[in-house]
Amino acid sequence: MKKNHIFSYIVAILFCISFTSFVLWHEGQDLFDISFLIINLTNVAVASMVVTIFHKTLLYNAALSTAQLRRKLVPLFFVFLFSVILLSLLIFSLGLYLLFLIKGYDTSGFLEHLIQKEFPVVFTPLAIGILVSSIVFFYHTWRQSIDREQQLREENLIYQYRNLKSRVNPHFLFNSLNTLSELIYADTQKADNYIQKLARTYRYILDNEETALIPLSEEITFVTQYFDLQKERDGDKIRLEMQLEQTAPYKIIPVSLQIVVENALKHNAASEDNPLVIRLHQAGGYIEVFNTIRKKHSLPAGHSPGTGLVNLRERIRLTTGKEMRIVRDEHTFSVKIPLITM
Amino acid sequence: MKVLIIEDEAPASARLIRLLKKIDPSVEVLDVLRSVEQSVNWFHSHPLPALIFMDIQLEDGISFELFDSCRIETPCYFHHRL
Repeated sequence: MKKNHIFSYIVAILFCISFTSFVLWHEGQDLFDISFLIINLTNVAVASMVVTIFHKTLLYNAALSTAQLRRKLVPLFFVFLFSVILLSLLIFSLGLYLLFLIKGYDTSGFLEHLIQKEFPVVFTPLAIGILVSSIVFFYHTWRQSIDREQQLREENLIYQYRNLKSRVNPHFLFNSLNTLSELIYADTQKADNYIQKLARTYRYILDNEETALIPLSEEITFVTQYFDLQKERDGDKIRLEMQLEQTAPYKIIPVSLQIVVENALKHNAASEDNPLVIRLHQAGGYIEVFNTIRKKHSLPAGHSPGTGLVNLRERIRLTTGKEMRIVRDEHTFSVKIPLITM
Repeated sequence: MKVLIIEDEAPASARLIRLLKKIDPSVEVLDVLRSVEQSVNWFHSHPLPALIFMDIQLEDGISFELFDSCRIETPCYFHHRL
């Protein structure tokens, strides 16, 4: 953002200089060619800055694949060109009209004067200006995509590092093994099922370390598996409910739902009379994870303050361009995760 | 010997019972309590056992809260999981 600020200041200064030149030219000074050039270059610069900022949002919301970005780029460029030409002609005409008013010139035939006399002369400088702003446009797009890639790589590194640290996830493993050890005595078959599920959980995490997006149905299966493991320990104290519309066309960031569910389990108390219900609701391009807030009285030296969610938010933003949304009120906590159609 | 177990996780309490029986089959587990509320009610209506096994994190709070509302003069053995 800072760079854009400097850019706009420079442009503003140039604009002032050009307007002064314009006035001087009209006074009859022989700055004709140069001032015209400056005026139009500046107009185009202003226009391109305005339009680039406007299009920044469109570019940021571009889909993940570079192919799709490439497809959008060409029509976007033409929209940009058209808007720039229009805007700069408008600014030029307005500036000239203002000058006419200041000078007290006759404004009755202004439009004809504009079209017949000014525009033909303006053409060449305008063309030069368009060339320059095209370069600006592509440079800006290129910069953005590099920055975005850099950020994504960084966040992925952070995630991989965290994942690596917790790949074995001692906390989760410790709890699972304790539960497992009792299962072995109680029910060998159940114990074996438990082991299979546990292995599959780690398998999923390992397999999808490098994957950016995964089919929603797979992530849901994974979350259900993870929850089944937890249920072995917590029984009827916890419950997972699902309201899914249509999972087939959608993809999601891997391990995202699990992080949210794990977070809910970590921070809420549960009992058999008052079970903790976690509800997955999918509608349209979003999946939402609700849970009733059940404040947990626990030891203060407890858990890290949901840094998993913060990292998840960043990964979602950088990979999909959309935002994860957390809504918290008195009774409910919900996390809304955007889905991608590809 | 009469013991009481205060533990909110079923597998963990099952395990404790199994281990106790292994060590001394004559141990009598009076009850397995899951929450602070349940425990407070129990202590107000039962005589004290010889030994109490207490988990620190219960369903609705921390077991230390018990000592605010009950007079427990029995030896307590605390354990805590991650």
